[in-house]
Formats: sequence, structure tokens, C-alpha cells
Amino acid sequence: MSPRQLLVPALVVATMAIAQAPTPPEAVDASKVPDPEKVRVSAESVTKMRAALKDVLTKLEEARNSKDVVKLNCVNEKLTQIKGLLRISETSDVQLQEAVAKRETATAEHEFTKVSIARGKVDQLRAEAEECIGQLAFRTDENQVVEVETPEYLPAGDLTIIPASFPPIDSRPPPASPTM
Amino acid sequence: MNRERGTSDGGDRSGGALTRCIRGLLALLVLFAVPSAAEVPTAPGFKIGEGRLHPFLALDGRFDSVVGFFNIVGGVAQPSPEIIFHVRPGLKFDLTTDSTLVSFDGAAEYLWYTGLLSPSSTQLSRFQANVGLDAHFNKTGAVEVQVSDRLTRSDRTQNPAAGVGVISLYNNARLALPIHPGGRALEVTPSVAFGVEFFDPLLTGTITGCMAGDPTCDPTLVGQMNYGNLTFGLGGRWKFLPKTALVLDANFDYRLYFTSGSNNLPGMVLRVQTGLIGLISPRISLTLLAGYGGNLAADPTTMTSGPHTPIGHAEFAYLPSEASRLALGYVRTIQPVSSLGSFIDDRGYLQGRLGLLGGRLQLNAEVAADYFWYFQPTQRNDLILSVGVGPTFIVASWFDTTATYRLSLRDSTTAAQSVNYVRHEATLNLNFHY
Repeated sequence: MSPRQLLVPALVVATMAIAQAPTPPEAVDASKVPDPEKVRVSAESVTKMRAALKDVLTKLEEARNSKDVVKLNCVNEKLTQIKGLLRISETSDVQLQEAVAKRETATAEHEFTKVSIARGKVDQLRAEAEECIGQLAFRTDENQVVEVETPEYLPAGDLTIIPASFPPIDSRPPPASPTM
Repeated sequence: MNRERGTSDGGDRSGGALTRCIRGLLALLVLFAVPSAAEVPTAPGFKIGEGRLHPFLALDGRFDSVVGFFNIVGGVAQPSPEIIFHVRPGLKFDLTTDSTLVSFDGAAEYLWYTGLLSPSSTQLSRFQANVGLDAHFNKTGAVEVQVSDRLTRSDRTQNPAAGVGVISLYNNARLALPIHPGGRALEVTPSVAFGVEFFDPLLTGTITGCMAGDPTCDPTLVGQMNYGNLTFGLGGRWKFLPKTALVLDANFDYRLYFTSGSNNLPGMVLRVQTGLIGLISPRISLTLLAGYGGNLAADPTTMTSGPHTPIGHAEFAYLPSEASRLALGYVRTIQPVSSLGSFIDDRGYLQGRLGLLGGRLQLNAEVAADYFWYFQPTQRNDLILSVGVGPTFIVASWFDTTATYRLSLRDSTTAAQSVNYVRHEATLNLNFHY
């Protein structure tokens, strides 16, 4: 069994293992897709995966700015996986184009399947990266900042101060009469 | 023709008067329409670090209809009026940053009783003082530290049972630790304060109607009322809107007396109240607090504690502008007091402040009525009614002036003459500051 043949089951297993919230789209039956369509869909998938990488990089920056290690690690983990999948997909895309040019149908189908599975997996990882930011936003810590916007038309000053328990009494009884 | 001319001239004159009247009204409207209090000039002060030091000098002239009982008519002491001048130089320091607030003010005051209306009153001339420090550290942190202290020497005592003129030397130190985790919406403030007050007679002599041996009205015995007051507090505040909060406030006063052999009744007063404070609309503020108050210390004679009573504070305030406020309120509280153990105060008040000319001119008015209940050793009730009105005008950043008229009426179930009087006071204050 060649390394290429090992890679497809490995991708499928990995996809199932990490399968969470959004369900990845099922891999299409490559034998039913014409070769030119394979090339077009594969190129489009790689472009989409690059966009996903860019999006997750933005989320990484967001997590870094919040100085939240938990969020940062969570997004970073997804990013690493996306990078790996993108690298595999780019290689497969080139090999798909070569196989189509050489009319090697089996190889072309194999590479197309790899790109299709990788795209589904990347879409899933992208959604998970969003969850890293979104779900954890409800967690408060010392870095959490709450900004309360007070309408400008409200009176200035703190109107919620608890009043003194005994207001000062302005009473000064007169002194004794020194002449009596 | 003459008549027509005359009519015509009269029309011109009335038209001119009307025009002048309209111009005058417009000028007045322009003056009153200055929109914001931001134009009120403020004193620059001397810059010291990040703070500002403001020296000031206050000069007061005051007419007081009851400075004492110096005139004897038919063997009865009569209330004596006098004109008094106050000279009060002082310093004020303010430092405010995001995380720190330091505020200090200190003033010495000399009261000169002129003797123009009651020559014997000159012996009341004296020095007074008022010094205060308030510091807040780590305001933006989870645990803030607040330290404050105030020292006063004056004839205005914290003791409403005092029935004779005294000089009160009062000091109160307070430490509070407001805890506001995760922002400032929720705040819990434990605090501890210790206050002491020492009494000296303004003048020695006799008060008509004062029972022998009563330290509240016998000037030779007022020192027996000297006390220390230890206060533990716990306040909680949840701001569920930017200017509106639910609050819980609990305080416990433990009263100490310094004079051995004095007959001061013990005071261990607990107050707990909860409710709502703040805006309920952009212009209406409410305070609605209710709870329990009681003196937990047992009277050594009867071996019973008390009184125990509901307490509370209700206030309705209308805020038409930043410089104007109208408030109507009622407070019921219980406090420890020298000699008599504790007292309940029922206070109703109406306060009004109207800012005009962009805040340069303030018209102030207040009516307050306090009804005091003392239960031990015998029932006693005092009523203090006061009415005060007067304007404050900010002339320049370095000068403002205030005129005040105040009527005070005090009436008591005890016969002492010094707690049954009517006082008229008129004061003109000139305040210079940099």
C-alpha cells in the first residue's frame, strides 16, 4: 500500500475523531465527476481553505489581544490543523492537475477525494475556532473589561451612594447665662 | 390735530416703553439661557505634582438673635442677639487620577462677637477649626482602599441631646475597603470607623429649667458626655442600571464613655436597611430604603434593651438640570447618644436648589423638621424645625458670595430654656479662593 493510499483513510479517521458541532460535508463520489470539473472544484476548495486560514489567523490575533491563554491555545490548535490540511490540499491539487493531464483516472480521483475531505475538515475547524472565541467570551477573568455606556442626557455624578445614617443636625443650643 | 398728535406721541411713548420692556426681557432671557454649568469659573490653584492646592479666605458677617442669655429682665434671662464676624483662612488640596483620589481641606476660624448688641457676648469670641482628609487608592482595582479623617472644633455638636451651648472637639477616622470584582456593577464595602467627641462648656452659668445633675444642660457636667464610638459597617450595592442600584446597608455602633462614675446609658445600636437608590427616569431620582434598627444594650436598671424600631429613608428628587434639584424626603433612624443611651429621629425635609445664569447663581432653600424620641431614663421629645433660604453667586473664579437667612425653632418636653427657643440668623459670606 502506497503512502498516498494510506493518507486517505488517515484523513477520514482524523475527520471522524475530531468531529464536533458542524458536520463536514460528505466527500463526493469522485468517479462521477468529470475531470475538468475535478480541477475546477479542487482549485476552488484550495482557495476557500486559504480564506479559512486567513480568517482563523484573525481570530488568533483577537485571542492574543485579549491576553487570554486559554482562547489563544484553542485557536492555535485549530490553526495548526488547518495549515496541515491546506498544505496537503495544495500538493493534491497540483497532483490532480498532473493526473488529469496524463489521463491517470485513478490518481485523479484519489487526489480529488483528498482535497474534498480536507475542505470539509477545514470548514469544521474554522467553525470550531469561532467557538473558541465565542463560547469562551462568557468566561470572566482579570482581563475581562466591561464597558458601561451611560447616556449623555443622564445627570452627572454617582446617584447611588448610600446616604449617611444620620444627617448632620444644624442645632446650636445657646450657652448658659453667666449672669444668673 | 393736537389731540391726534398728542395721541400719536402717547402711542410712541407707550410703544417705546413696550420696546424697552421687550428688550429688557430678551436681555434677561439671554442671561438666564446660558446653557451649561461648564461655564462656571473654577479656581486654578497652585499645581503640586498631579494635584492642585487652593488657598482660601472666608469672611462672614452674621446676625444671631440668640447667642446666649445675657440680659436679665425681671429675674428672667432673656435671649440676647449679637453680630458676629468670622474669619476663616484655609487650604484645600485635590488630586484626582484614574486610580487615586486625595482630598484635603483645613481651615482655622476666629469668631469675633462684637458686643454691639449684647456687650457681655464678647466672652464667646473663640477659635474653631475644621480639618479633613479623604484618600482613595486603587480605585480601578478589585479592592479599593479608602481612608478618611475629620477633626472639628466648633459649637456644632454631633450630640442632639446636648441642651446647652458647648464646644465640641470631634474626630472621626474611617477605613473602608470597597470590593468591586469584574467591574463596578457590584460593590461590597466593609468599613470600620472610630469617632471621639469631647465637650467643654461655652460659658459656665445657669440654665433656667435645667434639672440638677443633668449633664445635657448643666455646663459644669457636659464633660461627662465625652464618648468614643466604634462603628462597623457593611454596604452592598448592585448597579443594575448605570445610575440605579439595589443596596444593602448594615451598621453597628458600639458606644464607649470616658468619664468614670457618669450615668451614661449604654449604646449598642444596630441598623440594617435595604432598598433602591437612583434614577427611575432621566429626571427623577428615588431613594427607598427600609429596615430594622435597635439598641441591643440592656439598661442596667431595667435590664431591658431597646428601643427596637423600623427605620428607613424615602426621597423623591426631581433634577431639571445639572445645577438644579428639588427633593422631598423622610428619614427615620436610631443612633446612640450620650447620657440617654439612644434616640430615634424622624426627619422630614424639602430641599430646593435652582441654578441660573449657567450655574453662576444658585438659589437655595431648605425646610427640615426633626422629631427626636428619647426613651431612657424618662421619655423626652425634642422638635427642631429649621427653614433656610439664600442665594449663592459666583462672581469670578476667585470670588463667590452667599447670603442666607435661617429660622430655627427648638421645642422640648424638658423645661430647660436653652432647648426651647426661636432663632433668626442672617449671614453674608464672602469667599475668596485661588
